[in-house]
Amino acid sequence: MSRFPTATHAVQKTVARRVRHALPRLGLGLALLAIPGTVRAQALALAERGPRFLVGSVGERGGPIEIDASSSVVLRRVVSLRLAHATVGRLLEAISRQTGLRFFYSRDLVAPDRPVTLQADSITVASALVAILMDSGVDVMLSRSSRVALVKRPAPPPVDTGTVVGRVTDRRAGTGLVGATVWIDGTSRSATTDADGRYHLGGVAPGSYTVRARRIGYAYQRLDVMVVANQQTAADFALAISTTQLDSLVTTVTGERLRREVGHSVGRIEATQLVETAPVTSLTDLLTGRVGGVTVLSSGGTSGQGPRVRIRGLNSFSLPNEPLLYVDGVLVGGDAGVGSTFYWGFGRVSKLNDLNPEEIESIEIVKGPSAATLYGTQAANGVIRVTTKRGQAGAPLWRLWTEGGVLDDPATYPKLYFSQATGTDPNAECQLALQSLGACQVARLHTLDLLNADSTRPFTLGFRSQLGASIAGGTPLIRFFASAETELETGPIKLPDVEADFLRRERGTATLPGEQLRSNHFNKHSFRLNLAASPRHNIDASFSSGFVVNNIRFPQMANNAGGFIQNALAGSAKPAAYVARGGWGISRPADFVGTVTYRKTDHLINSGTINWRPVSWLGTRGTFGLDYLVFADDQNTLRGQGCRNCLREGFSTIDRDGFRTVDRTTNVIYTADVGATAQFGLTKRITSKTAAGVQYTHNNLNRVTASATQLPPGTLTLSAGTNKLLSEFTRDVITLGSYVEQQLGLDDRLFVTGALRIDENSSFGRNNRAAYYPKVSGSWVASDAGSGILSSLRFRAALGVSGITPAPQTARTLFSAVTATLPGGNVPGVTLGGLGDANLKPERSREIELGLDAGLFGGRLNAELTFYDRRATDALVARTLPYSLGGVRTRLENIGTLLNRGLEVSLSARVIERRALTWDVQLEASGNRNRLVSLGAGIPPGVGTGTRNQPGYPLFGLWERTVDSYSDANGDGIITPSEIAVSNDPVFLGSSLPTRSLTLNTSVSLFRSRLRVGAQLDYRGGHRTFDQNNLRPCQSGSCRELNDPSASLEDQANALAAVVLDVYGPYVENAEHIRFRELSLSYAASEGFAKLLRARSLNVTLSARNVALWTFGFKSWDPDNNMLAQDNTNLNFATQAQPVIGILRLTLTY
Amino acid sequence: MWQMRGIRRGIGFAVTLAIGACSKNDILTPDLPDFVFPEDLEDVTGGTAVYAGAVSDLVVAMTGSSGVVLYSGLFTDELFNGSRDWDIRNVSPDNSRLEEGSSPVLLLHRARNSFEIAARKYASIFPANDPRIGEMWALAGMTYIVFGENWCSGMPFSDRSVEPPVYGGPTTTAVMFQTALERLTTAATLTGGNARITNLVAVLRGRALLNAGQFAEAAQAVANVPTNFSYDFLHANPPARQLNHIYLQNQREEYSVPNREGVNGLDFVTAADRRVPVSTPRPSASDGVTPQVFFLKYTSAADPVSMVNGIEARLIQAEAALRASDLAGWLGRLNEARGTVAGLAPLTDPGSATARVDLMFRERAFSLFLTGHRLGDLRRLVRQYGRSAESVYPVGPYHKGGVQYGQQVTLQVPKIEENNPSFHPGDCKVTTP
Repeated sequence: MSRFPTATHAVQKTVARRVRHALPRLGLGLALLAIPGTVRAQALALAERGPRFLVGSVGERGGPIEIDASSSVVLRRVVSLRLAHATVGRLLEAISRQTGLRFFYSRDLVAPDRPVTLQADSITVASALVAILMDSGVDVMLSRSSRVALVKRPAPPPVDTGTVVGRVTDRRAGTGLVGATVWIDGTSRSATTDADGRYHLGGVAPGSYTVRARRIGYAYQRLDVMVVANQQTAADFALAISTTQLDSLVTTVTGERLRREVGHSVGRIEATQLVETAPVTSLTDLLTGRVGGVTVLSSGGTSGQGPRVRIRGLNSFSLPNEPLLYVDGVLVGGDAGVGSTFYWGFGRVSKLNDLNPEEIESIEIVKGPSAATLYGTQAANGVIRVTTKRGQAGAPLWRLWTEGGVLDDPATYPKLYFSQATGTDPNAECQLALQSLGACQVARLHTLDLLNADSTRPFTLGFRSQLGASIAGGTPLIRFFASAETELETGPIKLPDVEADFLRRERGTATLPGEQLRSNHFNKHSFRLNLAASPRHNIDASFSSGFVVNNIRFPQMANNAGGFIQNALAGSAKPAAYVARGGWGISRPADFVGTVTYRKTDHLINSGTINWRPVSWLGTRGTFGLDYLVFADDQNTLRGQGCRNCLREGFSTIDRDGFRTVDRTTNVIYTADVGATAQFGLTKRITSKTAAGVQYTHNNLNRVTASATQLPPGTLTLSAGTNKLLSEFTRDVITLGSYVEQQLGLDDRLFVTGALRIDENSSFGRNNRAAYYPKVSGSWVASDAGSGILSSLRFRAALGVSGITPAPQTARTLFSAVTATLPGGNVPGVTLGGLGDANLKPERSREIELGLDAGLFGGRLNAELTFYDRRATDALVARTLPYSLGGVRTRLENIGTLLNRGLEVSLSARVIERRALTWDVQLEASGNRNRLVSLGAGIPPGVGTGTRNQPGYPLFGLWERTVDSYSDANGDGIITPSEIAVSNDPVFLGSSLPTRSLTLNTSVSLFRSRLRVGAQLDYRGGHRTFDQNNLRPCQSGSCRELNDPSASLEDQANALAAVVLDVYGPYVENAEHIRFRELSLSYAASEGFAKLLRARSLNVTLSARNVALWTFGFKSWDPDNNMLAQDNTNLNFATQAQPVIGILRLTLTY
Repeated sequence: MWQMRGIRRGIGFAVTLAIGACSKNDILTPDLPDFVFPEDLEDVTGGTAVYAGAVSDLVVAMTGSSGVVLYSGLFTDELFNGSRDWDIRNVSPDNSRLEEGSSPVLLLHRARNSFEIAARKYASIFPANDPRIGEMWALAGMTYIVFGENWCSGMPFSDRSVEPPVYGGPTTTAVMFQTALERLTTAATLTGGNARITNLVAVLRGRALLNAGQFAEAAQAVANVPTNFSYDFLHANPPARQLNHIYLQNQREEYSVPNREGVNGLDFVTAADRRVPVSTPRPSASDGVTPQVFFLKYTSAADPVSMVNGIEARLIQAEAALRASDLAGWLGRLNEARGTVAGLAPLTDPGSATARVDLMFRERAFSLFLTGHRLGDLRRLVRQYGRSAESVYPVGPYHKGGVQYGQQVTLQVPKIEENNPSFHPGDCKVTTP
């Protein structure tokens, strides 16, 4: 539509509407669109004045049908019309003679005597009739018997609406802005600009309106217009660049809203630019350090591993703390409760990293219940909303990208020590304490450096590569975005050279399998197709489909009998141990690399949305989605391979006789979300938006695990196993929620919103079928001047409630199925299971949020300050049941109370803005105070591995007994157990999650933005971690503290306390750190250079990730690591450090 | 016009939604195939499944990896090595073996609750004369006997057959045996004439009466039980649930058969008694110190264990005869029991009262080896025969680690039970036989 001029002359007003009718009459079809503007306009006008060609009759059911003249054989016939003093009647007779057609008409209607000028030798009947009947108000009705009736054309339906058309441009450059949103206040009318910045808003009732236009990165603009029936009204916008956030759009459950309208903070990450210029290898890289209050917690540096994401602290200790993930409005699953059944080698794989950053337009973080109320029962941990890219109308835009990179393990690992006693036995041990007690005398100190020495170090350079392409474009009617990418990464883990040689000798072969030499690898292939259509001015539809295939091969890692780091830390420098196992612990790498572990994921996320605006004040929408996730955890060991000593030493129930485990999980989530929003101008100053809707989610998970042991040589199939085991697990959760929201606005400055969501959920107890979640919020824009020192100021407040669903089976009393062996054989049986709680309901979190947003110095400095207070009442606590009841050990009850309180500060500034130089700084700071307020009467503190849930302290706080004092009483420089005083009971040592964080993102653009240098510094503090990396060698008697007399007395005391007295407090270390997380150098080549590659643009980026790490009292290699990536188990043990990654990236657009 | 049509469509859509909302009960019904709900168990098929599950629970409780047989064996002189705290009779109430999901306490209570709930519920649903009702009452009684023999005076018994559940308070050892007798009395009327169940009830009744000190009544209860009767606890491999862990754990060298453990222990290895066939000792692979001795009675993890049998009936009769000073009857019954094993020479009277009691309990120890009787017998030696704990339990220095045997004479109630509002830590008397 925007191809037509935006003149306001009355004659041209309804051209667009008439085109649809005129084109088939002329038989030109869509080909007309290719005709240049003026000619096309003339043709359209001509078509409008001529007759329509119809078949059927007026009396027929459904009435006559208009046909394309070119589709009629009769009308395509050619006649010759050269008559002197031709009239309508004579010309029709001439056609009749030449074709046999018989014309019937009323003389009053057709006026056969009217003179017509038409001289043509070879003209189709259709063209002749158009010429003859031009402006006569007559249509041509054809019948099957060569009879043609000329009938009166019915009057067109009255047109009582007008149209607003125009163009949105960059004020400074004057160029059209694609993707800008233009909408009319008080109505549901909105449009998106095409590649030239043009838009068209049709069907607008006559009246005066305020029209707004906005685009990310620009200040919004509004214009007052008067819409006249049957006329086009022009409204052109010239937007100025701005960093103010007030008028950016945020996505809510009830649709898009201006940020100024919502009373809570919403974090937003614009992904497109970050992906091109920063070292972003995954979606979680995008999330890290961009939004205050969002903590991305690494589980380790193994390629393919995924972190945990926690928003505003921990909110539950019995249920998952994962935020919800929505992709294009569809709930996506995959994390909570569906981790691998075995952890040989990895902590977790995150669903977030199934999404390709290249496909993402933006990410919004809905932080807590004050904002997430309308997401309902599952949203108390916050919501991550991902919006994927959409095509814009215009010529296809191709993007090609490729990158290559290297990964390196930056850690320095501890050595092993062995104190050899005097005498002839080289394996006789004499640790320091024994020497001090006079039991022996140290003759020699042996050391072994398995993880650092070149020949035994299991790390080398890893590498990664990426290759992808996307295309975006379309017409105003239909737009598209499609992309495909393949990504490969091989982690730094390798089979040490010495071990590889050992294995070659043992197997008598020169070649070893690649998966055993480099056991950490993934290849990921992702595909996306997004379509958007606007078939009518009041209907938009979109469909998005993303598919990812991700095959990850994990190394043996973590607290695992066959694990690289664990076995190195549990090894021994004793000469005999070196001979037996190369000095490694339970098993040596040459053995345990025989066990190969895979996670294979197929993930399909489909979303379809229809927006329909039946009347100007009402917008309706429906989103329907399917998230289909299948992942398989496979673990295979060929007969004769695998951990050699694990069974004998009690670390496993299987031996080197071959085993295979297959663990297939299918998680399907159906989402349906239907809603409507009505908006009115109640008065000139007061606007109203009323929204209501229904949401339905059905989350079904099924897991089948099968395993077989005792495999014949060379096979890895379950069917070949001698002993087989099979199990199945199903989880099904259904939520049906309905909501209503009312928003009132005053003068576009004050907005008050109230809402209520009512949820029913299949997991609630029968006495609590519904949960009610209310919210209220207010936003007051005190200033939006856009200039001056205080260019904008907004105060906001929100109070909201949301929940977390209990596990599906916990509300009901049930039995568990077992196989019983009775006389006659195995039979199915049931045994007493959970003792359900009929009163079970969701955990309810209430959050109050207060904040202000300020724009300073004309929007060059934006500040957001947010305080929140979140209290989870009815927290689900696993009450331990006495065993005399039989049944299961615990029952969930709503008896706890939790508190999260915090402050978030966000500053973004353009410090320097020159033509040749710009410098942007973004600072995200947050602090969180997490407390378990109460556990319910009679509930003892929950004790995990290194963690404890005790009222008055943080959730999953770290508690251990401590060393109170030590003294070298005899002055021999050696501490003995009797010289150490320890606490009797565990004491609180710190939070397991960071309580404060500060991230600095900065970028400098030089040479008219051709060169950009970016960096991110990430600080986390206020927390501790149970560092078992240095403890493990001590537990084997092989650490420096127990053997080397030069070790400090404090270190000796701490090691002895742990080993002899089970006191681990000294190993709960300060995890505070600063990580130089990102550094990038990006260069946009000149157009001339790009043209050498026939490209529109060329961008080259050299970047690095995890450049440096500074710690403060942490003694091993990476304070971020958490072996199992679980909240209740804080063990920093035997996991790889986050690798240093260097990447060279090339992006071309065409 | 089109606007009106749009509104009509919208209304139609809303009506459709409303209709959908009306049937939300169907929408909100999840698929939970993993779990069985009480309403699924209302008929004979359901009752059979409950019966089978309860029997399985009891088998696992007795012969599972943390079962009564292994842990009471460790606690006494039947087994050693393995879990040191159990071996030296110094078990904390929060010991992991007591508190884990396979805790014998949990499984015994689960079986007890299952039997009692099911026996009541299915009495009118099962066919008339179905012996399973009597069997369930009998096995419910057996759980009280096992608790009474092995656990401290003070073990609570909660009832989850009612809603809300009733938390039981501390129960004395005497009351446990009395409750067992009540269950067995009920069982005796519901055997449906089935000889196997009738004999099961009889032997368990005799065992409960023996523990209660009613020797004559005990002998009378078992009088009609044939010596060759055996009620076996069955095992299979696969599935993994009901494995014979007496065999398995011994083969894995987690436990060994001791010889004269802790001064007072019996000579299970050197006696070369065919009722306790054992291997030649060799150093254990687990620590290189403990003599590893394998119990050769079982050859696989699927072998059944004769848990209640006619031999025990004869032993009960023998003990009653001894108590009644009927020495001929005593020796006769003992030799009758020994006659079931080829190659065992008949016994003769050792000549003194003390020696006779020693012989009586030695015969029980060898005949009932690793069936969960030994701890009950040691306690009876103290309670009914006036012996001191120091003279019957393993005492003195432990064979490794430089530690001494402890003072406990019964197993502990797990600390988890403190979540029972009717139970308090001091209620469990671990030093009272």
